[in-house]
Amino acid sequence: MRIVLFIISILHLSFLLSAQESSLNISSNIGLFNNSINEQLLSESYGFLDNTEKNNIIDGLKPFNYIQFELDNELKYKNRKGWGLLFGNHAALYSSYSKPLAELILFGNAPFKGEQLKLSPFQLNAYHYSKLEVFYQWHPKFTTSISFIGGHQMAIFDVKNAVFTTGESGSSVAYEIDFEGHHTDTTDLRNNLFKLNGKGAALGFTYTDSIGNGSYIVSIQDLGFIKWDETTNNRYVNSSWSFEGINVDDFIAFNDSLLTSDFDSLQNVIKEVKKESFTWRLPTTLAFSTIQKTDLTYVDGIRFSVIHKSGIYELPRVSLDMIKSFKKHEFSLGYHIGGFERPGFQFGYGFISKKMTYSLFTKQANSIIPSQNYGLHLSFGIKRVFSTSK
Amino acid sequence: MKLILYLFSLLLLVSSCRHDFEQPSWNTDITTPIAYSNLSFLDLFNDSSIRFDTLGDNSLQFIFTNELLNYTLDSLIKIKPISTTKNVKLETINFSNTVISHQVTMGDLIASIDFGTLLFPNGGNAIIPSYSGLLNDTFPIDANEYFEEMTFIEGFIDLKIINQLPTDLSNVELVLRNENANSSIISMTIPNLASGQTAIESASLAGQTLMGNLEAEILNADIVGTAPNSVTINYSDALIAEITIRDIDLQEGIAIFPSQQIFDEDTVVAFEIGDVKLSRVIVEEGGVEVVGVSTIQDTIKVEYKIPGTTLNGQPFEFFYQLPPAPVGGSISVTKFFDFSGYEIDMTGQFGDTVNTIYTESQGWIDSSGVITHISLEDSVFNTITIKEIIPKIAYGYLGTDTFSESYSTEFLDFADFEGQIDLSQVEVSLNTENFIGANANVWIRNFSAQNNTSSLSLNSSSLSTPFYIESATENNSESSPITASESIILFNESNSNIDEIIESKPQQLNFDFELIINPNSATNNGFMYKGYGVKSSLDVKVPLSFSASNIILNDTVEVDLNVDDLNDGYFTVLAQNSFPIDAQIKVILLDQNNMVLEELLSNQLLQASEVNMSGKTISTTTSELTFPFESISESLNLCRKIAFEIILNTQPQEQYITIYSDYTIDLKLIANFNYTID
Repeated sequence: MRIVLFIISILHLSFLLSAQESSLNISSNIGLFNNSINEQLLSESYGFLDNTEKNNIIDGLKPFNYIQFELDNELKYKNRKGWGLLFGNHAALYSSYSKPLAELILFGNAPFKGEQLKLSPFQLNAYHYSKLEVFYQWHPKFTTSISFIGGHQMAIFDVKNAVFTTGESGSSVAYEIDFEGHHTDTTDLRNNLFKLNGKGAALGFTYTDSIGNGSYIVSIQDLGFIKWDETTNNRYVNSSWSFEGINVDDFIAFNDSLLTSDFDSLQNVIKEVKKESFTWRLPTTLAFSTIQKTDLTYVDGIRFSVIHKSGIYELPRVSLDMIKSFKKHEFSLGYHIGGFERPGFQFGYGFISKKMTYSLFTKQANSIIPSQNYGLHLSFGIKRVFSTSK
Repeated sequence: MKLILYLFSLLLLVSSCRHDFEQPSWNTDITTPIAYSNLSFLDLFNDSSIRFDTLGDNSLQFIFTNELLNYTLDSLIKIKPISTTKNVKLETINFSNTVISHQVTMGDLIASIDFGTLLFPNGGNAIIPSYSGLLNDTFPIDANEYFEEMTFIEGFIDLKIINQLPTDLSNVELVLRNENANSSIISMTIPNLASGQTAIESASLAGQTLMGNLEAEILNADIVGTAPNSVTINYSDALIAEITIRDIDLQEGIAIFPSQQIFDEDTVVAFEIGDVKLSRVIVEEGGVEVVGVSTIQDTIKVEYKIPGTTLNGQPFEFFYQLPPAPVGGSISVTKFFDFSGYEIDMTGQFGDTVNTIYTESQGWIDSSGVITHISLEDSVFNTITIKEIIPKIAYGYLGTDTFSESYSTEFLDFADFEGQIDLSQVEVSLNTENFIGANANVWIRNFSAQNNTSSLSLNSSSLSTPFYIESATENNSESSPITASESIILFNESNSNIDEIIESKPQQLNFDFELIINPNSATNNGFMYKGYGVKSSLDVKVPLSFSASNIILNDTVEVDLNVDDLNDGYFTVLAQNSFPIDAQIKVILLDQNNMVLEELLSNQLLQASEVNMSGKTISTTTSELTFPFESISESLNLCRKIAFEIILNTQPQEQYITIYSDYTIDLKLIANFNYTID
C-alpha cells in the first residue's frame, strides 16, 4: 500500500508544485481496525466473559464482520530529474467472518439444537513482504514504477462454505466445509521474520492533473504478484461429516477410544497438506483523489478520495475531508465509509516549511470517544527537500 | 513541532487508559451425541450360558444351560505302565574249530648246515646223510589271527606232524605250549616217522588257557638219511605241524567271535485295570521304552515284537543295537518306540484271556570282525516298559464303577434382581447323554438353591429312584462314531417346587449325584471312545411372562475416560421403548477402589410402552432423561467403573406381561457440558 498517498493527499497542492524537487521521505503507518466491536465493548471483554458480555459482543456484530491490521514503513528518495527509489516493508491482515461463527465460538452449539449455522464466508488474508521500487516521472503528470518484491510470510484462507448443524436435543452434529488455504511456515514468525519465502514484482502508475480550482490524482499501485516457493503449505478441503454417536452393539462395553478414533478421522481431513509453490496476486490498490480550493471562511479546500483494494474490500473506502491552513500548518478533518473500517472521522495535520514537511494522520479520529472507537491508527511522514528545479 | 509532541503525548495518554491486558476466557455450552444402541432383551444378558428362544407367538423364553458333568474315557480307564526286565547271562560262547599250521622246510634245514647250500643245492641230487639234533629247536606259532586268549570249559587240541621231507625221521619228541610257559599243552613222541608219513596226537583242553602266542619245541628228531640213495633236493619240502582246536566250549576268550544268539524270550504282559476286562484297544498314545545294558565288548542286536499289536496288518516290532561295552565296564541305551494308532489284541497269545499281551524278543552278538573279550560272566539287561496306554477306543467289559459328584453352578441372572418377581411358568431339566458302550444309572441325591440369606431344597418324587440310561451304540462312522443314549429328568411346578427355587433368586444351584456304570449287567461287548463319556447338563427354561415390581438390576462397566475442563452440564438419554416396563436409572461413577465419585440421578422415568388389553405393546414411548452434573472432569478422569442401577416395574402393575422378540429400546446418550475456553 502506498501510505504516502494519504499523507501527500493532504498536501495535494504543494505536491503538484514541488513536482521537480529532490527529496528524501520517511513514512510509517500502523493501524488496527474492526467494524463491529468498539473500544468500550472491548474494554469490557477482558478476562472472563459472562453471558451478558458475550451477548453484548454478539449484538454488536453485523452479519459479516471485518478485522484489519496494517503496518507499513517506507523510505523514499526522489531526484529532481524525476526518478527515484523506494524501499518499503509491508505487513497486513484482513479478515472477514460471519456472525454465526462468533456465536458458535462464544456460546457453543448447545443453544442451537435443531438449527443449522452457516459459518461462511470466512476469509483471512495476511502477508508480509519487502519491496524495492524504482519510479520515474516521465511527464509532470505521469509517473510509473516497478517493484521487486521479496515475500516473507503469507496466510490466505478462503472458506467458501461452512455449515454446522446440531440435531434436535443434540442427537447429532454435522458439518459441511469447503475451503482453500495457503500459508508459509508459521515458525518463521518467531525465528526469521524476514526469511525470503517468495519472490515477485509489481507495477505502479500515477496520473495527476488539474481540474477546476484544484487537482486530482489517479493511481494504481501493487499491480503484481508474489510466487511463494515450494515450501508453501496448501490445503484444499471439501468435506462433510455427520456424527450421531458411536453405534455400540455392546452398549456397556463403551470406551472413549471409540470416540477418539472418529474425531481423529476429522482431524486428518483438515491436516492434509500439500507442499507446493503458490502464486499470489497482490491486493492491487486503486485510488482516486481530488482537492478543490474553496472561498469559505473556515475551509480552504475540500478533498474527496476513493480507495479500493481488489480482492480485499467488498466496497471501496470513500472519504471527504475539509482542509484548513494556518501559515505553515495545515489541518484536515474528514469522514470515511466503506473499506474494512467502521464509518468514522479521520484527521490530519501537516507542517510545511521550505525544506521540511511533517505530516500526521489518523483514520480513527473517533479514538477519543470509546463508544465510537473501532480501532487505532496513526501514520506519519517526514520529508526533506534538498533542491528544486524551480 | 511542539504540536506533534503534544499529539504523541495525547495518544500515549489514551493508550494508558486501557485495562491491563487479561487473557479473555468464556464458557461455551457443547452438546454432542456420544453413543447410540438398540437393545433387545437378548442384549441385556451378556452370558454365554444363557440364550433365548422365540416361541410360536414370538414371545421369548429364557434358557439357562450349564454343563454339570463331563466324564470321558481318560478318567475311567487307565492302563498304567508296566515293566519287565530280562537279565541274560551268556550260556555258551560259540567258537568254531581252528586249524593252525607251521612247517620247517628243507631249505631251512640246509641253511642251518655249514656250506649246506653248496653241498645240497636246490634241485640237485645228493645223498642226505644222517643227522642228530639238526631239527632241535623252538618254533613260535602265531595264532593271534584267531584269538589272543581262550579259556576252555571243554575242547580238544590235535597235533598232527606230516613228514614231507625226502628222508625218514626217528626219535621225534615234540611239545606244544603257550609262549614261555613251563607246562605243555600237548606233547608227542614218534619213534619213526618215514618220509611221507603222518603222526597225530590229541589232548583235552578242559580247564586250559590257550594264548595266541604258542610255541612248539622239537626236543629231538633224528634224520635217518638216504644213503646210499641220492635224492632230489627240494628246498620246499617240509616237516609240517598242524594244530587243530576243536569241539570248543569256552569259559571266556579274547578272540574274533562269530555271530551268535544270546537270548530268545517270549514274555506275557498282563495289565492291572481293576475289574475292567479289555479285549481290544486302539491306541491314542502309547509305546515301548527299552533300557538295554550290556557288558559284552561286542555289538548286541535286539529284536522286539508284539505280534498281537498291529497297524494295517503289520505287527509292531522294532530293532535296536547295544554298542560294544568298554573294557571292564558296561554300555547302556534307552530307546522309545511309539505304537500310537496300533490296535492291541489284549486276549494274549492264544486269544483266551483279557488285559494281556505277549511279546517276543531275541538278541545276538553281532560279529564285528575285531578281537573282543567275551566271558560267560558277561550279561545283557533288558528292561522293557510299556508306557501308559491312552486308548482311543477300548473294547471289552468296562467294569462297574460309581462316581459321586457334588457340583455347584452360579446362577446370578435372577440374583441381581432386588424386588419381587412372579414367574408364570418354570421348567428345569437335567439332560444326561451316555456315550459309553455300557449301561448307567444317574441318581440325584440332592438339588438345592442358595442365595445370600437362605437355602431351599428341591422336593420331588423324581428324586427317590435313580434314572437308568441305556448303553450307547457304535455307528462305524469316523465323523459320528457314537449315538448317545439320552435321559431327561424334568422338574416343573407340577412335580416339584422348582418355581419357588427360581423365584427365590438364587445365586447358586447345588447338586449331589451318583453315576454308576454297568449297575446290573456285565457285558463283554462294551466300548469307550476317548473324548466321549457321560455328559449331564442343566437347562432352566422360563417363558418370559412375569410380573415384577421394583426389580433392581445392577451392572458395572469398566471405562477409561480422559476429559478435561468440563464445568457443569448434564447427560441426556433419549429412549424409545417398546417394552411394557418402566425404568428408573441411576448412574454411579466409581474409582479404581470402587469408591463413589459421583451419583447421577434423573428425575424422569424411562416410560413403559403403551399396551393393549392383553398387555402387548401397541406403540413405543419416547423418554428424555437428563442426568445433571457439576464440575465432573476430575471425577470422569478418576472414574474406572460406571455402575448402572436400574429399577424396573412391569406395567400394568400386578399383571403378567410377556416379552416378545421384537421388543427393543433405542437409546442415545448425549453429553451436554459447559466448557471453558481460555
